[in-house]
Amino acid sequence: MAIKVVIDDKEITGYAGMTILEAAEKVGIHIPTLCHKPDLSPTGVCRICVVEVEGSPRAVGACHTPIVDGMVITTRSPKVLALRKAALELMLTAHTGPCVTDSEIKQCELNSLASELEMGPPRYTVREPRFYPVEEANPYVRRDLSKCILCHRCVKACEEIAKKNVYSIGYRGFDSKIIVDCDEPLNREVCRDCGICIDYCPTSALTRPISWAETDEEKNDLAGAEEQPGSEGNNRERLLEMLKAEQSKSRFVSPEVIGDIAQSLNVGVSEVYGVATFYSFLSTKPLGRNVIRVCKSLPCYLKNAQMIIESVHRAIGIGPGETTPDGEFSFELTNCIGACDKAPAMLVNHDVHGNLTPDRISEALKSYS
Amino acid sequence: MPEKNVVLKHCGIVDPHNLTTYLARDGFEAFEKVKATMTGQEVIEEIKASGLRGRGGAGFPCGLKWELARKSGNGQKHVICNADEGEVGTFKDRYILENDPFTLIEGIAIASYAVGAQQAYIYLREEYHYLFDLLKDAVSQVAEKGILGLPKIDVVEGAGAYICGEESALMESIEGKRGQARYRPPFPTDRGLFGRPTIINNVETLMNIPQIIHNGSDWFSAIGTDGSKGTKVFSVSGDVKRPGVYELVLGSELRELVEDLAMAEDIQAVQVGGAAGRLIPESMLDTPLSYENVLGSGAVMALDQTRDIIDVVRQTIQFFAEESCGKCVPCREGTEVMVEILGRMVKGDGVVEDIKTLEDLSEVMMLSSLCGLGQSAPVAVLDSLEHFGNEYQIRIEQSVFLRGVRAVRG
Repeated sequence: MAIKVVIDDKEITGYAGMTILEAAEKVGIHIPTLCHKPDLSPTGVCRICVVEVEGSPRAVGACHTPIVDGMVITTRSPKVLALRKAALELMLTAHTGPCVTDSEIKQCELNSLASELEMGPPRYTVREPRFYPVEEANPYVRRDLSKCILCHRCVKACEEIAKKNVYSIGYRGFDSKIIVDCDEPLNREVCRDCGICIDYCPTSALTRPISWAETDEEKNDLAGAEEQPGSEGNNRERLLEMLKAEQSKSRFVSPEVIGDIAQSLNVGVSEVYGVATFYSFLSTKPLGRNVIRVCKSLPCYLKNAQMIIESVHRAIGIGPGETTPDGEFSFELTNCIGACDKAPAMLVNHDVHGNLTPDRISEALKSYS
Repeated sequence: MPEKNVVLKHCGIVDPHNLTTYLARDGFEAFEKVKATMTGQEVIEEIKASGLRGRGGAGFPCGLKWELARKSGNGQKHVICNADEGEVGTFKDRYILENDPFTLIEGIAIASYAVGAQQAYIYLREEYHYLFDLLKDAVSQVAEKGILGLPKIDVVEGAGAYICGEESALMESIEGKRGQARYRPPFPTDRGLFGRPTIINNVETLMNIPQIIHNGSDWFSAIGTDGSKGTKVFSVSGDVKRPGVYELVLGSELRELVEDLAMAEDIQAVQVGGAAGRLIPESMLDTPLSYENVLGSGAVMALDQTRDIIDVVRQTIQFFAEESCGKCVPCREGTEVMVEILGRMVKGDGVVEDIKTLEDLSEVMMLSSLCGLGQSAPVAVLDSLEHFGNEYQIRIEQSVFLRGVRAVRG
């Protein structure tokens, strides 16, 4: 069934499943993109391609939103332009490196986009911009993650085109990072004769090492490449459950176990590590026999959680993020545990201790050691 | 008093460990009634007529959600009960699960019948692991009772991530993945868990279902206001003498809840709806608690006159920065930038431009973040700028002074 939409006052007839971006391109309306590539499935992470859709309270990502009959779309209103600039400005803020001025290594899309949108230098600051040492371990791909803007293009290209699943996203929030295996330097033979991720990287986060001397024919010859497991397969949904079981058995998930799980579920190692580092109750470092989690969210904060944190420190001699030398306790801070009617509160393993006072801490912890 | 027990009707009366006590009251009669006398579509019509809206925070009309899933093809469908109660200051679902898991299971059974699902899930946050066995036991007691037409119910557990209370991230998590939000469309009712049409309902929403079937949609829609039918269970914390769980008729005034029931004194502001919720100044305590005004997850946190509002806002944004899944730019980077600004502000190092930056960033995050987390993260910032703008002005003036002192001292 033909679908009629209006983009910037132009009437367009499209088909079901066509995205706003595709419909716009059909009539020569240019919508800038960054995380999107036509041959990769959309992720919608960068928010550069946002447009206004009449009746929608929020901006809409053009690369992943299908057109619907009667849609009225505006691609260049002042509001849309401001949102695009802001998204780009935010990406530039935490991004270290001379990418915007240095186009020597390769053409930087961030740089081009900044000129296209007439951007000045970013107004924002962050506490600590992302900085990672340049990684030269791999003879085929040089990684400079300080320049990475987390567009996911390398992850998708590796998964969907090369079908190697080398990359994943690890950690979460601002700490998110493109990882290989258990966040190890990229040093995989599987990358030999590939380099697709380099072609898809919009910045110079991924580049060819200086010694790279291959031809395009070689690069595209994937026939001999070792195939990595795909992410589709049986029991994939058991991953979190398996990690949790391992966490409670061994008190952490080791790289060895991550490797085993990846193999048994037929998914990439980085994928398993990415899941393991996303959830706060999973740890990739050994925790103590008992884990204390003091709630620091607002209801507990108002009831002097800080004092409880100090009392725990005094009682077991370690600060948040640490484990006692005898391996008895690990001490962590957590967000809301839903015991706000008993604030300040903490979890010890899975037990709730509420209405805490400094003198009750030692008593509460006694039963665990 | 505006208190009324609909959702909490059986709490404290039935034994959560013993199904017989639930059956001895009207337990599973609503489910039997539905199976004997109603088609799935008729159940949906009844829920639509009741005006029940989602109790998790977003307030989507429940019957409409079910209908979208029911009409989405004839294949396998899923029902998910969202028991990932992570919104700061919310503990009403914990109270419900602790006291009355059976009504919830009956609600899930009716929902599954209505949409045509054979598989249901209860997604429980790991912070509530101490309820895991209780829930599993309740599910098996019901299964062993031999009640016909029940869906298979699996209790699955998260592993510590606020974002997994967001429906698309929750489905990712059940699929064993990182709890990252998905873009929409496709909506879960169309392509949800494992790509199947799925409804995700909050614990409290599902608790209302057996009562609506029992008493009829007319009875239910007579409670509350025009746009907010029924009751709401609130979790009250902060500067109050009687923190706890209260069930009120929708449309009751915020003042009745925090001052009369929870006995707060000397209020400066109340945060309604948790970190993602509104910051209501004392002068607006007469605001009705309803979808038309202010509601959210049911978290109500009172702040007395001694509290530093900017520090409260900083804490709130810090929470979002820690809990952002990190997928989209406005949320991942925006929360971090806001933490930097508010952190400086609290320490006495704010600049005049910070206000404009906070306003601009808030708009960007609300308009272009992928999911509800990034979209609602700036609410506390904007509300505080609106109602407590003076606090920011004072803080910036102090900052100017302090910088002068530092410059003189070298």
